[in-house]
Amino acid sequence: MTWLRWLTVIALYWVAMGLDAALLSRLWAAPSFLMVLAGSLACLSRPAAGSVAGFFAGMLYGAVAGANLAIYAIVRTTIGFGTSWAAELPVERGPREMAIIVGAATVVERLALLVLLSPPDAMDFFRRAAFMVLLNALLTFPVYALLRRLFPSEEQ
Amino acid sequence: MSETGRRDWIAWLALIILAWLLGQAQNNARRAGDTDRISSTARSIAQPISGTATSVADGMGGFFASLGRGPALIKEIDKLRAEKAALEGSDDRIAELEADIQRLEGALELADSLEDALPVRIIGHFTDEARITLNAGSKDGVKPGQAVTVEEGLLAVVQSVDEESSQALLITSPLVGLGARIMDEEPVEGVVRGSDPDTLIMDYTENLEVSSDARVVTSGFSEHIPAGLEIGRILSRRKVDEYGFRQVRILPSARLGRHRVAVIVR
Repeated sequence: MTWLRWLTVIALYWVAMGLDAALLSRLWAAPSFLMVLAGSLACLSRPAAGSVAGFFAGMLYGAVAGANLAIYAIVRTTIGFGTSWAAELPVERGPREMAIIVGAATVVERLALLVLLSPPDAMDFFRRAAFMVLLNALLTFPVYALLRRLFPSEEQ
Repeated sequence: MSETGRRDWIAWLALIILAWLLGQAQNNARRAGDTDRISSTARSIAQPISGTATSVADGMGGFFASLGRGPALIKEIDKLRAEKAALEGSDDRIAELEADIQRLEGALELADSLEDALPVRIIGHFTDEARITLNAGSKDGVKPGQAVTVEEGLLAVVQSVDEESSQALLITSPLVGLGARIMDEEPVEGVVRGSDPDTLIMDYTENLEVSSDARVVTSGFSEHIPAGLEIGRILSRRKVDEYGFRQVRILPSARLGRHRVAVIVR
């Protein structure tokens, strides 16, 4: 039932959006649930679909956080595209490898935002980014495992 | 580039353009002091989850904070409880002191109102003997038989005098007898004597029924005790037919209680 899968993805985006809206502003360091979801989806799909996943992650975060919607959407669309492309490389597609890819994608995203947004305290931004990279990578394990069951690859 | 590869790039480009357009819409809305539709819709949709997550985050934050600060908070609570108990005790003490001040002020006013009055301190009390010690004696002009009064009325009668101190018997002592007058429609005179620590008795021979709760004052038929000093109020009445006199029980107006200052009427 394809519609059930997509409904699940929509529900996951809804939950991730709510968690990001609540936690990113309250905690000094928190994971980006939208990034983890988009990154995990991108790892399971072609670059076009990865771009769509990234686009929605960026747009929804920009919308709920009141941030610059265009910058977040453009950066994460590009990250989603790149993550899908990286996942297509001839490497083992285990959760650990996908966690590394999502962690690397988070690093690139944070660097891009550092350049485009120019936050007032760059050092603090770096420190928080480091925690976010680690937390995103850890969260990728269960999220990727769930999405892999929803969208089994052709090999499976 | 393969067909799928080209489609991927086209999809990416289309999404970048869409993102730019949405950004422009957002900027236009902000310039107008408004929120763009996408942002407001996204916030409304996210609210159920974000509200719940916020409550959970606050609760967990409080839980972990209490784990860390728990012992310190318990100490602080114990300390605050002790301070509160001390303050409550001091409230009682303040009330006592205020009552003492009122009694002192009453004694001073009484001294001012009487012709030759000497304020004295009550420095001793012997309950079994209904006796008090005063800090004034013969050098201050104190003589046996003089009245010791407080704001409420007659308290005691000076019994013995030293040079610097004196002893007085409370009017409730059976050893004290006072000339008294019942202030009624028809005043009745008699002798009041102590009965027990709480009441006085007065016998009189006139065949007159006095009002209950009538005032009883000193009659002035005494060498040292002036007339009109408040003794008390009638508590009960009875007629002793056997001996042909009437008897009233009197509740004294003045009680030693917490009085520490009195006035001797010289």
